[in-house]
Amino acid sequence: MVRDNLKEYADRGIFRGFCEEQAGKTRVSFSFLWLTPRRVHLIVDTAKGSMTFKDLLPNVPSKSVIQKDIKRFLKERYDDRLPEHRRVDSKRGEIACTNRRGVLSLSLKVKGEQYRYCLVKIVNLAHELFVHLGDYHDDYMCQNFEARQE
Amino acid sequence: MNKKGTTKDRGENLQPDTSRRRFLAGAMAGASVTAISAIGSNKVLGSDAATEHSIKIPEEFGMAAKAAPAKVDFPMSGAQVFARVCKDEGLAALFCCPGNYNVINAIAEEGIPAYSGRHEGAMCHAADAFIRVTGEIAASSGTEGPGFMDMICAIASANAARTPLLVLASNMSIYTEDTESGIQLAYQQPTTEGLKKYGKRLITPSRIHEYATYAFRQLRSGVPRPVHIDFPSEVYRAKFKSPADLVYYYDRSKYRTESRPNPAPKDIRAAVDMLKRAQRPIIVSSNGVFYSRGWEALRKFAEKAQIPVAESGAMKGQFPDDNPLSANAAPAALPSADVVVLVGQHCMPTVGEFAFGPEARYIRIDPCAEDIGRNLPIDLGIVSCEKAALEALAEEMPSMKHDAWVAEVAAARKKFDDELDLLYKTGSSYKDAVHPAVIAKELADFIYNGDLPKEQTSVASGGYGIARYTRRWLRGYRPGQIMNGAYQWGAIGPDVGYAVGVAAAVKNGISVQAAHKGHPVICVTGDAGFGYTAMEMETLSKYRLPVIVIVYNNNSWGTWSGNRESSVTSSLHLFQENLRYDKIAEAVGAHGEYVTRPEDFRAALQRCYRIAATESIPSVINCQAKKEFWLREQYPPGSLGKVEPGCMSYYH
Repeated sequence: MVRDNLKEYADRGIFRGFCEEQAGKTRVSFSFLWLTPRRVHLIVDTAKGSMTFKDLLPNVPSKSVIQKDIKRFLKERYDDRLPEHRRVDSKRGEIACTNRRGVLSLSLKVKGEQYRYCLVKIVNLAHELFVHLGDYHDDYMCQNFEARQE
Repeated sequence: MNKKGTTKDRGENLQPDTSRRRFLAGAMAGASVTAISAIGSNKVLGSDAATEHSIKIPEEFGMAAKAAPAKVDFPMSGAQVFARVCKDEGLAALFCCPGNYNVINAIAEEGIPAYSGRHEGAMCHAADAFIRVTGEIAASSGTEGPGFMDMICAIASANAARTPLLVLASNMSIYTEDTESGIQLAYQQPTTEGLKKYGKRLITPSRIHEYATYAFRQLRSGVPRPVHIDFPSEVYRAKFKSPADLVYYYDRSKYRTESRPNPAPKDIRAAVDMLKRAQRPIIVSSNGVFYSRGWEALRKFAEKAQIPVAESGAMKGQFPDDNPLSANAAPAALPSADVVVLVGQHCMPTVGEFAFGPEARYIRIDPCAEDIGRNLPIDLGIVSCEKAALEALAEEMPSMKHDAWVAEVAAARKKFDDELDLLYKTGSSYKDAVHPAVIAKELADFIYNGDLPKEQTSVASGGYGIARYTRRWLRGYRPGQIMNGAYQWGAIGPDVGYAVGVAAAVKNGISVQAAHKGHPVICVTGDAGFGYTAMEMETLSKYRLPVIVIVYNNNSWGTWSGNRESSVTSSLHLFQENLRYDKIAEAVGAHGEYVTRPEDFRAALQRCYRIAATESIPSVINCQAKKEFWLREQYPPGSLGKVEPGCMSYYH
């Protein structure tokens, strides 16, 4: 189901260069071009019940201003004041953000077999995160994603 | 308190008043044709010697204002034949520097308003801007070789903005081609390859009328872009005794059509079906809505189906920002849209450049099938004139309600407004220099929330770092109110040139500017940008074009913040500090203000506006800032990014 849903994005032209690779018995790595010239990797692990955009954001020092802002932004995704279609229901999925040596990965822990729900949410979450970075951290986007400085 | 609009006529059916007499009379209104030194803080008065050497507008300007257009008839030169077609086609203005003499003289003698400036590039930018705020066609001209080459960046800007700009340049003679005889020989057409819709070096004198019609056929159809015609001397000097000497000498009705592509009914039905199923549809209105004059159809369609509208493109104001359906200043709502109708988006973003989410489906309306589906995948393409498609959709679409979605857009607008208030609060806390948030907020309050009718003031919105702030506050309440300077090409520096074009349009009340004729114009730029076209302050001054140029002076290029770490290279991004751009203005006949404290900006703006309104004299407000304002850690919020489409957009 996850594969079919991801492929639908590719069929619609939203993802480009879409491909997948078995990364273990219970792990599949989907890879595609999307919002920036950097290829993104979405790893779905059915044993752990997780979906992870691995190494989504490079050069994010831990405890930096931008990391704090990203964490605040992600936390706000649970906010009841957001419209339902923009909100993450914590009963169905749990957002996690890990920073390993300055490289940030974005995950959603799938609850109650809500794979379809979580897939849509994590894809939209990544999209909104990039919109947010383009609005408030354009210098970061210039330095790391070939966004134009002008 | 806002004042209400002064007219109900939004200019959809207005024709440009392009008579030269009217133009020159307007240009000279309020201006003494003798000494103009009694302005602002220009203090050269006080002695006979100073008066004798004070800045003067030559009496030739007054004489020109009184002169009637020449009556030209056969026998005519090639230049005159070309100019006659320009006149018949309603060419609304010419912006040039001396050179290409036969052609520019012939155009001016036809009674077409002609402006001469200091640099061909700046004047070409002026023509681009004039078109972007009127929807009418204007021309730019330069001389052989150097003059033409000076226009290249401006042609590229106009090309990126999809502007129907007529580029004219003389080109020595066919006889001397390839010889390097004399000076200034150049191959022009290859130089504009990729920067134009159509181009031609005229080589057969008797076909000059035919190629003039080629030019206007291209300029007035489909998706516009520049048309470049170059004139060897054998062509512009050719003599024609009668129309019989010209090949293809036809009336306009014979060489082009006013017919426009209408949408296929099945496409409209498919669009209606998609929109009826949508929960959160949105319309993106861009260039094509302006050039097709489709804003009334846009409003009817949007209001009937209760669909929010965001703007993008080279000009803004087709959908008023005070309409409850405006999503122009509601960036947080954009990712929620599930169906996006792109109308007249001639320059398409790629995936991820617009903030719409991955679930969004796209309907694209464009007059050219060959571009539909480029960059952004479509779910439905409609080949049509934008206005015709919007009229059809307004007719076919049932009345609908999207109350929850409209409420979400309203909440996003509120959130954005709250963010602006916070930016202003933070910016105004810095007291030793003028923060960009102060300029943006105070400017917006002055032109929208004070004594002026909010739809009155046209803005040439430029600059780089400063624009990331001012765009957030600038609003469009009627077509042609905002000229989105850096749109797509992102050139730094055209802004004072753009101001010449916007002001010429407003001063003479051309097309949609008719209801706002003669009112002062605002131009926003940075110190880097001002350096490129600052001498056009003299052009503004000599034509009495009342523009208030706000210069954000942070002593540096906008690139400094991203390149400051290296002690070897950081100086490449710096200027001398505390430069007096206001004095440059004064030196060329304009008024100057130097503002170093945030609390002084508003009063300076009021003084400049008064001078502009009462004396038609342009001004520079030199706002002393500091380059460190772009450093987030040191001076939050630092430099800002953007979200497109909407008020911040300028990439697409």
